[in-house]
Amino acid sequence: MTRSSGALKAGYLLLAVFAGMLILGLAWGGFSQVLANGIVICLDCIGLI
Amino acid sequence: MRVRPRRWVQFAGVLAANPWFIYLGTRTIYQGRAKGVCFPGLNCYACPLALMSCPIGSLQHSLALASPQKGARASGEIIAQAARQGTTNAYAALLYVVGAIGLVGVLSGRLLCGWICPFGLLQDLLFKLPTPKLTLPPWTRFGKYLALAVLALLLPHITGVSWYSRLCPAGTLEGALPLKVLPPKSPLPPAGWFFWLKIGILVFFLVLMVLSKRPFCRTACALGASLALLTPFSFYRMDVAEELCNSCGRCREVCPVDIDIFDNPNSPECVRCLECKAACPKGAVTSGFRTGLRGRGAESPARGVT
Repeated sequence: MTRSSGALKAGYLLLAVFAGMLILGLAWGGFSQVLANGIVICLDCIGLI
Repeated sequence: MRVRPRRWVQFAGVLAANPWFIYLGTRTIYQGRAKGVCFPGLNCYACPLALMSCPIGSLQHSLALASPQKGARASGEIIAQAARQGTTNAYAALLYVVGAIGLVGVLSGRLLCGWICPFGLLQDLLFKLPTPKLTLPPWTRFGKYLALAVLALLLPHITGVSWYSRLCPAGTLEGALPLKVLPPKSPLPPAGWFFWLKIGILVFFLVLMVLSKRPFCRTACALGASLALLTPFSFYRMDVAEELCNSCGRCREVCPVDIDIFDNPNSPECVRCLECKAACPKGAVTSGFRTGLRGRGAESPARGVT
């Protein structure tokens, strides 16, 4: 498989998009509480509550 | 017996994901700030020793919270309450989780599957057991994309329930079973039929892991699927120098996901374990981060770099 300039450009574009999403999520805040609360849901997932 | 560096890194990955040994004394599952960080491998965050979150579990949880159902179908008041608390920040979590998974994928493809995923290590070790071996049919690789699309993305948003986590054998092995053996302080009710269904799925995959190379990674891992989709664009590239290759087949022999690196050095199935690179007697396989059209392949014409 060869790497075209299109794939390279798409790589940089995706890098920018995902970095933007990550920064936006961090700036918005509150995500860590959501993820930490996920453990409670997860106990349900594993059939224990 | 000599333990290769990758094996040490894999064991370090297990420890990095699960260092909360305080649980053994306190019997309280960690829910502090570090749980807000996604571990870049498949590691159940219901594991009593887990310090960080599972990215696929977090993805589903965020989608479920952003769902019109919002935990309505979740069984029990504890879950509904947790769902209500987290609703307002569900979109922030979704952005964060998708951004984190995406960044890992674009930067390194499936490199971390091969080097730090605890479930990947388990599969590598179980395959070493001396038994007759099976080759998985190529079409089974599409299973992981189906699992990602339906169980990890679509259904959690439609139903408000994390269906992939519900069926995930990593969750059973790392979360459910340890919690049954060493239950947390807050008492858990007896396991229901769903628990036994999960045990059945786990046993099925454990048997398959003994018989074939990394069957879960190749057929069912939603995290692997999301990273595989980004592999064609990833900055970490594998190259094979055609003029050096003598077609000895050693690379195919050692590959933990049964791919032919010569045919497609940057296959979405490749977990970048670099076993082929170490095994190649001619040094024909190279790898590294490439930020331009030309890398080391510019000096020697290599497959994968133009």
